[in-house]
Amino acid sequence: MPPASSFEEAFVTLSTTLNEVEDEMTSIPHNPANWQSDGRMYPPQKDSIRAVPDYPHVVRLRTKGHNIFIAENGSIEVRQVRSGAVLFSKPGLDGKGVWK
Amino acid sequence: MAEFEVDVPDKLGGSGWLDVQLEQKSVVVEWRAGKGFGISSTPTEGLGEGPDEVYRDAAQAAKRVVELLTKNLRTKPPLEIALAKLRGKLHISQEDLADALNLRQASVSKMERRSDMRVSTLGKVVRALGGDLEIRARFPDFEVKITQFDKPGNRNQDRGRRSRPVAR
Repeated sequence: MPPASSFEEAFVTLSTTLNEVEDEMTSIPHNPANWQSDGRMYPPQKDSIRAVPDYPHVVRLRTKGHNIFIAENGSIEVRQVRSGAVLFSKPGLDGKGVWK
Repeated sequence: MAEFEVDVPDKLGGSGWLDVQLEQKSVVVEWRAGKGFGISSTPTEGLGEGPDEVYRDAAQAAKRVVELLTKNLRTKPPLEIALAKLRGKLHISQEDLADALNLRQASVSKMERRSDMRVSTLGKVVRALGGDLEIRARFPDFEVKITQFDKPGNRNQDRGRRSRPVAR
């Protein structure tokens, strides 16, 4: 995944990457309207956005077991909900991470 | 005593989450308007996984959460399976299935590679594998069993051919 320079770019790159992986792994067609019950993995939807207190440049997207933080500079961090452990992080195009 | 954490989105319409923990056991419940309540035992793998079980009714979902936590159970993820895999999972060979359906093995092989078939044919195959076919239609606010194909008068006339379950 190439580094992104904005939230929008990071969100689209993340979604595209996850969808492409699923396209390879399953025969179930991509249909977000069915996403809760068709057995396919889906990236978080934009309506899942939450603000992050004290960090106005960062938003959080919640999925079943993960919190995905995306900053306005395009950086991404994925944490496990239960433990808070960082599972993935990628700086933005400016080289800075989510929390700068 | 159980601990609850509610995680709501900033905008209406997005998914809300309820994390419930009782001692060392935990479940997560996702709620989305029109989709109902998706319940999963945790920990869970895989970014973007859907819920293991979906309940349309809040009372049923709550009952299931209590059952999972108090009886130390785990949710069961949904299975998606093609006919050939199902047959393999049941340890039934193509030859045995063909015999039960009064078909040649080559016909079963061809059938398993199809992406479309008659409901009546699928029903015969599932019965020959030892199961029952149930067709359900899912709408935003409800789910319903389609019974049209259950009626004897609507079954395909397949004179001279009867299927029987594979003997195991």
